[in-house]
Amino acid sequence: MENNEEIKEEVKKENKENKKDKKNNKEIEKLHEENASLNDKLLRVTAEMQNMRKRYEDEISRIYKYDGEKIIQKLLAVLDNFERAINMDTEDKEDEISKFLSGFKIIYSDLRSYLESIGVKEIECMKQPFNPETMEAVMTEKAEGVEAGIVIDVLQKGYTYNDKVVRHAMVMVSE
Amino acid sequence: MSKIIGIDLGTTNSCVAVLEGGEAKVIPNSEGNRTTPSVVAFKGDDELVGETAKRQAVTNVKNTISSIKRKMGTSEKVEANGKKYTPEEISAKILSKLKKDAESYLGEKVTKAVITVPAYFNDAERQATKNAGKIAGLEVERIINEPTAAALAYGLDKQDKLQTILVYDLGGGTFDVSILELGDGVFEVKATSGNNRLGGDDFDARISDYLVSEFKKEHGVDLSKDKMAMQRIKDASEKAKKDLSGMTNAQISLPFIAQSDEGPLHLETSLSKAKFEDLCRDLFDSTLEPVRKAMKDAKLTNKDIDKVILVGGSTRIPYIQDLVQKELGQEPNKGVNPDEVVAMGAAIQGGVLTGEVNDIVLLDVTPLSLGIETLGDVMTVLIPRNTTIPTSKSQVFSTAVDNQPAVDIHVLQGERPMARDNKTLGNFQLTNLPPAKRGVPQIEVTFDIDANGIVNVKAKDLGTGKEQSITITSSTNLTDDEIDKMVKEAEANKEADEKKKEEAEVRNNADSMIFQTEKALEDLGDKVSASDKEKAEDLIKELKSALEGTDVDKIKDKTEELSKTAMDLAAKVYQNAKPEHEDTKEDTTEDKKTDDNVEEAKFEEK
Repeated sequence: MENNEEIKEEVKKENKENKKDKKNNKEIEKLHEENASLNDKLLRVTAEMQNMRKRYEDEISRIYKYDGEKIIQKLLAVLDNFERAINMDTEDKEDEISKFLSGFKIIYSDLRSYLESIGVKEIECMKQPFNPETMEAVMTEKAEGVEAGIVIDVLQKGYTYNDKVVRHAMVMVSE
Repeated sequence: MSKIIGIDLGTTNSCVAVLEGGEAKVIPNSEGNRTTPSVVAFKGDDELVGETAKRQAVTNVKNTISSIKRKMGTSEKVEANGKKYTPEEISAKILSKLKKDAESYLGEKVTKAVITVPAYFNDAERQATKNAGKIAGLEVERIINEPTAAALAYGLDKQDKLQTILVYDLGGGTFDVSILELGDGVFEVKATSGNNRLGGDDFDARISDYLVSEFKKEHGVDLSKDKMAMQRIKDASEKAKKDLSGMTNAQISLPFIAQSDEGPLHLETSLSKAKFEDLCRDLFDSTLEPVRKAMKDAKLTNKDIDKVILVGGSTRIPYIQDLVQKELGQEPNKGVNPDEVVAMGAAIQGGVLTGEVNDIVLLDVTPLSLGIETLGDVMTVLIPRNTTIPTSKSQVFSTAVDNQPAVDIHVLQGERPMARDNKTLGNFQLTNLPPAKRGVPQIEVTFDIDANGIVNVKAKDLGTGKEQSITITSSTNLTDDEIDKMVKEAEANKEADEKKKEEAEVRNNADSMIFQTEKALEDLGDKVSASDKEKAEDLIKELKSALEGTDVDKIKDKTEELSKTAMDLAAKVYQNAKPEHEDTKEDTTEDKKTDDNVEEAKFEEK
């Protein structure tokens, strides 16, 4: 009898433990799942961070490469004005205007050679086929003996800086 | 899951954005610009889209198509290169270019997009937009209204109460007003109105006309016939308009604009903000009529509008902002770039669809700076305000007096430079420091804030490894108003505070100069002549008495004097010494270097 009772007790205990185990197993399974999903999320976030960093690094190096682009654009406007002034010069090289402008010419070529030394290049346009990558067409005109689509006048010079267009040339194109 | 891009397909310009780390980012196009002209051109076998298409437009008028958005949803076809294209096909070419730019930025294929349309677009127009996406190889996950996208970009969907939002969108060539009702994350369009032939280009034209007429009055020369001159005037007008959003006067300088019998003519003038507003007032004011109409259609009055949002580059014009504020009786939202806000909202919608938005635990930022009190009642910030949390930061401090047995860590929160003006979060001590000269012990103070804003501050003596810490849970208990008040106070007191801080620094410098000189005198011993020693000691005494007073300039002068004397003193000693002493010299400089890294904390003696 006593033995029987004991066995019963044991079986009961075992059952209880089994139940507990089952419960624990479920809990563990749940935690495993959670853990896996959190791990996945963490990896994704980390990967996204690394990708973002790469993208920003690319962007920053691009910005560095073209650092000064805005300043160059502003200097180009000054260069234009020097050119406009010099173009006022007449045939008569001995008059007052010419003498005055000779100083302008020196400053102009100084500024120009400085810009060239840092990688600013004029875009060749005259008599070239019109190319919208580097030029902006502001007008068209019929020209004798010229086929259509050729630059027949440059209204404002265009420039590249480290191979990137900093200002598109403003041109007149033949019809 | 692959990214869903957000596209603002505009009449004159388009923009593409993507969600990155939970925030919308505008993707620059291959030319490096953040918006792309909505222009498509055909040239032989070539198709040009965006800036290149725009630049060749005059040479190729017949085959260049712009403002195709106005034709979306109609059966009208456009002819180019002898072929007929539907508006969808043309829009698809713009979308393809944006898709390609996004792919090259992200470094992966993009197949899904959210595209925005005006709130007044009907079903046919929306369907056409969707088709355009399909032709471009994009699965259009959703078409959303432009004003809705703008509201999303401002995070207005995150409020829990029902609200009414008015979106005022003045772009390059179109003007739209929309009134939305938002509740439970659902947007409902209550009314729309606008003028689809009004925008920034009209304002530029008004300035150009004015400049031409003024020039004619002054010089009798009509510039309007000279295309080159007109191009320069047009550019200068746009620039002047933009300048006047931040300044009251814009300088316009166009030298050598024309040639007359008397020589070259220059257009050299300035345009005041008042004059610009005079020139465009009727255009600006004309936007009020659609606003009133939309309000009337929605049967709303000013007090029903919870938020006003400004969209489109022209809403940068101060007159427009004032106009809207006066008309609606409240300050409009304008923190997000008005050219990009719609694309950004579309990207956020894309993030909601991928689940990226929900996945992102909205990370908080510290509303105020956190730091400790250091020598001279100075607040030394370890974690500046607006730092995203969780985060942690350490810094090494040292003692202020010789043989200091303990340091007091006074944890502070606030934006004022002086400790006493900030809020105390807690206090604790690190005790039992072994006896040492001031500046020698290295005490590492670490701030750690978890995602819930709970701050743990730990001080560790790097020499003995002893540590002590405190946990502060109340750092986030401040209400928004309190935080705002503290930030504003800091701004208001900035000048006075800086003066106080400078004074503290002067005093600290004096204090450490005295210490260094005394130490040097002790170290050098009888290598220093009695007279030199006396001179230095007198100066120390004078500086000490100056420190007791309040004359900061006097302290500064005396410190300088003492510093000079101390240097002379050392120089003399080294001059007399043999070259082998070079070593010692190097040592001293090295010592000083470590000193620089170690900030002296006000660690009171116990």
